[in-house]
Amino acid sequence: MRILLISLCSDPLSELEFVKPIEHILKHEGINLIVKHYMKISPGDSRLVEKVIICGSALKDNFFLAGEWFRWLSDFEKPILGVGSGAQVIAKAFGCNLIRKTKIGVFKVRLIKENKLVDKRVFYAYFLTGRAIELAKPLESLAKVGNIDCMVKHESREIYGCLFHPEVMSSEIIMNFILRT
Amino acid sequence: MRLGALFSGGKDSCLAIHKAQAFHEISCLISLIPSSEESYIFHYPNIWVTRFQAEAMGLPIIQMETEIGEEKELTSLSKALKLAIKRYGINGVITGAIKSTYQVSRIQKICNRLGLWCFNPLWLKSQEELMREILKIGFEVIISGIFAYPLDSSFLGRRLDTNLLAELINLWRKYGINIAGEGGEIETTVLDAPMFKKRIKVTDYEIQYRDNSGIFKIKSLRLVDK
Repeated sequence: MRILLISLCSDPLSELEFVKPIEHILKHEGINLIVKHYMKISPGDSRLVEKVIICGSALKDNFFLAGEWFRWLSDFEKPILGVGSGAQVIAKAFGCNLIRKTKIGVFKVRLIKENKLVDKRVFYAYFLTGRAIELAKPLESLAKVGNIDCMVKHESREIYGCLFHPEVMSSEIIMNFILRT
Repeated sequence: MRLGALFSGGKDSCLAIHKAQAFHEISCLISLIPSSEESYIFHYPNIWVTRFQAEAMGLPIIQMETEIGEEKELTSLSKALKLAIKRYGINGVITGAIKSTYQVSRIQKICNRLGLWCFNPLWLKSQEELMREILKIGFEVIISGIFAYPLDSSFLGRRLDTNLLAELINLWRKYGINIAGEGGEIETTVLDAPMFKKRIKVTDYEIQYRDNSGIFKIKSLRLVDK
């Protein structure tokens, strides 16, 4: 299995913080991967991989939200997981609005709907986000922190977004995405 | 980007600087000097040495004493960062945080309030990989504090090398000690690194030790040519 890991970082120094840890988890499990910056994705890349993970970015880094870099996501039929800012990308690609809401630190997350990625009804997760998702179809909520939808899924496709960073405290979410979707 | 480096004088903040320098300019170092050994967040032994480490790197340093208490320390950090913005025009901060969500989320919140970028290039790096990288780059690091069983006074002042790393890995496997020391088990002081224009030579020291807890206290030093 080969995974495409997408970097959203406009600053390469941030990749050590937001891409490398996920790369490390996958490599540790012997998973083959390609790492690419979102501006360098070509149509051929998606044909070479089975799944895609869109990694997070620094709190001040929102350059990825400008432009139409992710139009290809709506036609992509393989499983996708967006982490942190990656979840914002998925929300935007499927027509949801993003609202300014800063959440930094460890918070209790409540599961709303059973899914392949999370087995626990309640768990703690690390958040580093400056935006929340204003949920709209075709995305649905899987989990909430307070009244914020922090884990979303496409209603009929294997496309997930975690507003938190599972690589920090809940790496099983990443492995469940790899193994169960 | 002009970065201010949160600097304790230990291996992690030095490695973070080393990594950041590949992409950005380090404009100043920022050290908080706790007025209590019970500091919640910041590195304590030999914090006074940071002034000489800064001189060895040819960088200015902001040293700010912090009052006792978690919130007061964070207020002091905020004040120090405001000063770094005003004096050196920084627009980002770099830290040596590895695993502590407690430490990193508080720094992220302050940076967010001040409109600063926050970089944590060692974030979630494995302990062993981090120590091996430090050796490979050629840092000269000594153990300046131990705070966990079964570490004893023989570790104080020891230079990090492959033998010491092997011992620490053994203790990690046997007792679960965090070999990178982020859990506070071990504190380190960097005497030389590639970005140092001069190296630090310790000319006098004192070992204070009791019940698996102790420090290698540097009493005097001088900067020497490399």
